[in-house]
Amino acid sequence: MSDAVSVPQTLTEQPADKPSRAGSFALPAGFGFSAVIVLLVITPLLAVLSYIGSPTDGLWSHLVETRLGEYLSNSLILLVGVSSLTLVFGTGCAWLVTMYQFPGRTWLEWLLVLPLAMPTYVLAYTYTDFLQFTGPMQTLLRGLTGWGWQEYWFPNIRSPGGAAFVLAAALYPYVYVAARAAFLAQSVCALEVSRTLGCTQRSMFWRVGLPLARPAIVAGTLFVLMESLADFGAVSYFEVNTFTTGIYRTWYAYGNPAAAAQLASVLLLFVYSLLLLERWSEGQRRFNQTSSRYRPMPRFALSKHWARAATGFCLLPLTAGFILPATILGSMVWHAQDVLSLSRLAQLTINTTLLGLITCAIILTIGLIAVYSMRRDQHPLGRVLMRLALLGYATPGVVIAVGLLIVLGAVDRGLNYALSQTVGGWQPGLILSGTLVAVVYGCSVRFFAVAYSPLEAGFKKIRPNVEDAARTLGAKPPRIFRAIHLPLLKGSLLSAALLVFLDVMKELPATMILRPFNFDTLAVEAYQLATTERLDGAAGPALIIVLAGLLPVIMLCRQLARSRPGSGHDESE
Amino acid sequence: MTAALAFVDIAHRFGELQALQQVSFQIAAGDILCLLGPSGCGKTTALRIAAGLERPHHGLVQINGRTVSGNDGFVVPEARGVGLLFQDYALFPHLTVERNVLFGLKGLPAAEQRSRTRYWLQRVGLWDRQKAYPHMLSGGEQQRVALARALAPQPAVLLLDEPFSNLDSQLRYQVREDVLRTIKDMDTGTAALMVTHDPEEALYMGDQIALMDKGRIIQTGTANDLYCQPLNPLVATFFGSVNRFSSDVQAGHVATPMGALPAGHLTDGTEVDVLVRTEGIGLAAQEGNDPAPNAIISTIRRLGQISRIDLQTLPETGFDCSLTVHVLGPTAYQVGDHVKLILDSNLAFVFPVQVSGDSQSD
Repeated sequence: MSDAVSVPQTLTEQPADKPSRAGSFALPAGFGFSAVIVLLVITPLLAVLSYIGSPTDGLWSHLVETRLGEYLSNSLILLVGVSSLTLVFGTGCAWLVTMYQFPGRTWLEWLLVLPLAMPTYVLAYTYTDFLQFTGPMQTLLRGLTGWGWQEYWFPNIRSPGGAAFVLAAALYPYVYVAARAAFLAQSVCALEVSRTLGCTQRSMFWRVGLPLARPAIVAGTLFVLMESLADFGAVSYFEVNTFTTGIYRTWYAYGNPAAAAQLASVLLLFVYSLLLLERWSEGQRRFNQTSSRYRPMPRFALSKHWARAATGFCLLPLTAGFILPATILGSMVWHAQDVLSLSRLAQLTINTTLLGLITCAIILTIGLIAVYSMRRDQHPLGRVLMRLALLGYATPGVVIAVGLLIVLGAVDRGLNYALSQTVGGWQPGLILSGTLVAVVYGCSVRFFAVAYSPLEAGFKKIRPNVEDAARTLGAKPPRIFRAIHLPLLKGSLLSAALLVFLDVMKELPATMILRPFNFDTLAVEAYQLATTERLDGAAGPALIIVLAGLLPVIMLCRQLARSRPGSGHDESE
Repeated sequence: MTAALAFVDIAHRFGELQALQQVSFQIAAGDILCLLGPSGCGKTTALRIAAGLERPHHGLVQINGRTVSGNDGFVVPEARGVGLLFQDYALFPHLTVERNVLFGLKGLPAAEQRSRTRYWLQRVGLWDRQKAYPHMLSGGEQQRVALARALAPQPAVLLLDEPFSNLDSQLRYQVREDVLRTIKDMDTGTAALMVTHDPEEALYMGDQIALMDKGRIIQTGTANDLYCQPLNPLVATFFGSVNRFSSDVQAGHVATPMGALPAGHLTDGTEVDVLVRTEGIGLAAQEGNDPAPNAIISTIRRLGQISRIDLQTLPETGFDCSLTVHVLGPTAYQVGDHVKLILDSNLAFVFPVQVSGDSQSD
């Protein structure tokens, strides 16, 4: 027998009578940890919901009489407008770039996701600047026609329709990406068979392509709708009153937490219904490709006329969502008279980076531990809880902020009371509310899912056999983590960090409501300047946000370029 | 001599599912035991228990006489000194071939690590690919790296989980031979436990074969034991096709179309199943009336090395059944020929008809 097997001659590690998995009511570690995370995430949500039955001193009935109808009708206009625009352009562009060959296709294929770098409120500022009476558009129009003030009608961007346009321009890439992925995933064989069964190129879209991709497109659209309902920056700048602005106003202008929380509950009802629909629709994605053969998609050539039309169609949303606003933004910065000083910009950038880094560190640590314990213990209840913890991402920032204010306010009051009882009447006032802790907590709740999903996906790619092999080769769990998991997860960790950082950077309502006094971020400053009609000043911070936001979008572009299953490269260009 | 690996009365369950019951076996140093069975029979669970990746609910696991799982405690996989070879190889995708092999050698002097890595990579013929990453290798090469990685730390026991099932058939024979020779050539006395669902593979590789079904070991023995002395119908049918008759014991014998078989210790009147391997029936041409024919040939098919002949028994035998016979090479018989059946009683087995799942036989 070998003497080189370096095995310690001890029996240790675990008590003998503990069964490894089933047959015990003791909850494994992964369960306990996810329970804590869930508790932290849903506390603000529960705080909001806890006000459902509370009296509001008549404000609620006042709201119902005066405002609720407006909120509902505006939200409805947004939902209908945004969904139809994103469906048409998101799905249409995806089909064109996957199925047809036309000038600019290779570029458009990934350029079409660029609007993801544009926060809706930045779009709102730039379009307002562009389309207002003194803006270049109307000035040009007057110059051409000689019309004067009030002698012509011009569409008002600061209207529900305008808000729907801006949201659709910023959010259509979600539908585009989902639809494109679904179109790419379908087997060429299915499409070719449909041709032999008498489908024309065009009817193929309606009879095969669209039905197969429908669940993905529906899920993408529902996600866009959730984002639209959650939007605060654009609608509040346009003074289009929706639930989010209503909650903000009720909290600050009326100082009525109960009514704000009740409005928030109504909003949650809508958002979570959309979320449920989205989950359900994802679950419907049951068609498996029966053919596992993938060949590069043969793209149909288009006649010159149609090819131009295709290029034009794809350019429309890209122009509306990125090219035009980016140009306007650049020119605003270039021509600005009322610019922020460099030191102010630096201060804002530092604040934003600080907030982003702290949140990143916290979310990634928690996310990593959560994924790790989930994988190790695989407790079904833990999984369900984890799904709950991901709710934060679906919850509008305003609602999280209001919920946190309620919770932290209560904690502060409790601490003050306790301290006044013990430390001789000392009442320190606000302890957690209005501190960095509050903002970081809010952002962490909102963006936990952003980090958790790539981490989970990254972990899923590591086969359990690899861990088992490492263990039988003598590696203890810390070494496995260091030598196997971390290197294999590097990519996922990096992209998770980048996504969280940029989401925190763009986040407006939660940061604005929860931030400490005088702690301004780029997004907050841009919003404040814009709402006080200093669009020139807002352009600087907005541009920084957009430029930073381009990073992950470019990363996404590269992924998209490689995402065709079965073919590393697309040679058919 | 203590066994390299011993299971003593192991039982394990997942929730309600009883995955293993009363599983006991021993593997001597240098030997290979194949756990053979259909999927879901618990063989992979047994392997994971040996590795320490599952903790059994009951029973002892001993490696070289040392209890690694039992009432006194549990030794974690990293401290057991077992090597594991997976169906999907489970190479570390981010490490080179060389560093994959080095992974298990941590704690040894650096020079020793290098020389062992070199030795093993040369042994499996992949020293020149040491800087390659796993995805740059073919399936067979990956399997050899995995073998080198598992054996480099000189484990007391090598565990193989369906190690050849991802390889195409040509390569499989080659790799199987390589692995067998490598294990047998080791001077460290490494024992191997291999899990497979392929009877041929088990017969080829195993010094001992343990046939499993529904979490239990049904029979353990050499390839010859299991083929020629199966303990129950399941074992008999697992290793090849059989003809099956129903009959009963009369005067210590069981009647078949080919003549009577001794019934062993079975009492008269016992209902029995008779299983006769398809190569356990010989054919003799009929000349005149001697010997008396007892079957007529209904179809003949050439299957390469063997011929398959289907027959129908004649009424005179008292049986009305069809039989299948395998004969080596081509056959001179033709459809419609009357033939005499000759029984090889070594390849015919009598089992009492089982009412419940439990087996008492022979």
